[in-house]
Amino acid sequence: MTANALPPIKPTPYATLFDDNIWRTALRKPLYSSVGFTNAALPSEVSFFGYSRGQNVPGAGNASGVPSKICHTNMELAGVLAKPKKFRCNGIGVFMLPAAFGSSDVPSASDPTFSATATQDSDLLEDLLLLTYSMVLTVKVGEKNYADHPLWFFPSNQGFGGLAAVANDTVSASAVGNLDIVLPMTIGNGMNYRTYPFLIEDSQAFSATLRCQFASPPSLNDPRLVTVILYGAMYREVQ
Amino acid sequence: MADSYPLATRFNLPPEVTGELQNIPLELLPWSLYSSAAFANGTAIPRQTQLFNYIRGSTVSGAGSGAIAATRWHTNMEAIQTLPAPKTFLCTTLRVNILPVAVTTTTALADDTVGTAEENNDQVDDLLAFMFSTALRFKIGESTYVEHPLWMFPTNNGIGGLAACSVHANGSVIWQTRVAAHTRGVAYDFGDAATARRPVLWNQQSFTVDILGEFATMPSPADDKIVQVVLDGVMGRELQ
Repeated sequence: MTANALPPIKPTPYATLFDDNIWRTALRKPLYSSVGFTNAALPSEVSFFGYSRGQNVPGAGNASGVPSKICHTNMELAGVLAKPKKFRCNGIGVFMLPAAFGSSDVPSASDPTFSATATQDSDLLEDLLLLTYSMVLTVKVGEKNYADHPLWFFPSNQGFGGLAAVANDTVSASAVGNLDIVLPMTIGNGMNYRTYPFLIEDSQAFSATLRCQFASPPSLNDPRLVTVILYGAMYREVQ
Repeated sequence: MADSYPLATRFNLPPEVTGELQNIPLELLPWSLYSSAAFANGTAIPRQTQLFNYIRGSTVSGAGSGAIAATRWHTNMEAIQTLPAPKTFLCTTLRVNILPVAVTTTTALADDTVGTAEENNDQVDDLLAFMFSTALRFKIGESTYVEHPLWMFPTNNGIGGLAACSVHANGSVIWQTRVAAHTRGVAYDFGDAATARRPVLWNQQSFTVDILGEFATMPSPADDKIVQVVLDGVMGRELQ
C-alpha cells in the first residue's frame, strides 16, 4: 500500500458474539406501532408498542379496535422484544397517515366532500397541525426517558412534496366545486441518536407515549391513525 | 483514523461533560433542552422576554393567555436557569420555533375564520413579525455565546407538502387561508468551524436565554403565540 492509498474498507462481520454467548446478525429494521385517534378532543395519554401484530389496534375511532396488520405494527410481543433480539435505536419519528377513517378499518381520502356553499377547510392539514403542535412524545426503556419532548421534534420526514396547479373554471361557474385536496407531511431534522444510540435489550420493557396536557385539548376533524417509528438496527438471532 | 474512535470521544468531549472532572460517572445521551415564552395578541412584542427561567408547574414566561402552568409541552427544565447536579450539557445547536398555531390555555388553528371578512393570514404575519423584529441572546455565566437576529436560528421542522384549491366562482365565495408555515435552513451550529468550541453547561452553572425586541415600535402578534427555544446537545446524566 502506498502512503497515499486509502485504507481498505473492512467487511462488515456476518455475525457478532454478544456477552450472553449468542451470535446475532444486525439488520436495518425500524420498530413501529400505531394507535387510532378519533375525531374528538386529543387524548390526554395514549401508549404505543403495547400490543403485538394480530391484537387489536388500541386508541379510539374507526382506525382502532381492529386486528392489527403489517401497516399497524411489527411488534412480535407486547411491550418487549422477543428473546434474544436486541435493538439499537438511532432515531425517532412520528407519522400521521394522510387518510381519514370514515368507517371501521377503511382508510379514505380526507376532505372527500365538495360543496358550493360549505366552508372548505382542509381537514388533513388542520389535523396534522393540531396533532404536531399540541402533543408531547415520551419514549422510555425500562424506567429511563430517552425522549420527552414536544411532538414537532420528531418529524417523520416521509410523504409527499411538490407543486400543485390550480385551474378555476369561470365559464360554467355553477358547476365549479371547491377543491381543497392537500397532502401535507412533517419535514425537517428529527432527534438523532446516532452519536449515542440507546439499546433496547431482549425482554426489556419499552414504550412510547403521546400526551396532550392542555386542560381543553383541541379536536381532530377526522379519525386518524398515528404511528411511532423507532429507527435503528435489529440484532436478531443467527439461525 | 477518525472513524475508529470510540463513541465517547466522537465529540472530543471536555472532561466536565463526561464527569471525569467531577469524578462522577455520567451516561451520555443526545438530548434537547427547551423552554417556551408566551406572547399576547394585540400587544407589542416586549423589549425582553426570558426563557429557561421556570420549571414544569410554574407559570410560563411572558404574557397573554398562553402564560399558564407549564407542562412537559412547554419545558423540560428541572431547575431555573441551571442544570441540577450532577448533570452536564454540551450544546451543539440552537433553534427557535415560532409555533404555527395560536396558543392560549390550549392550541388552536390560526385564521379560523372564513367568510366575508378580509382574510389576512395571521400565521404568516406572526411568523414574519417575530422572525424579522427580534433577536436572541444566550449567555452562560458571564459569557455571551449568541447575540443575533432571530432568523439565524431556524428549526427546520414543520409541515410541507402539496396542495391544490380552487374557488367557486358562483355565489358565496369562501376562500381558505389555512397554512402550515415553518422556518427552514440549517440550525445555528456551534461546531460549524474547525476550531470552534461548543458551549458547555456545567452542573449548577447559570445560563440565560432572552428574546429581545429593540425596534422603536415593536409589532404586535395577531394571535396569542408561543415561541420555543431549543438547545440541542449531549446530556451527561447520572447513573443510578
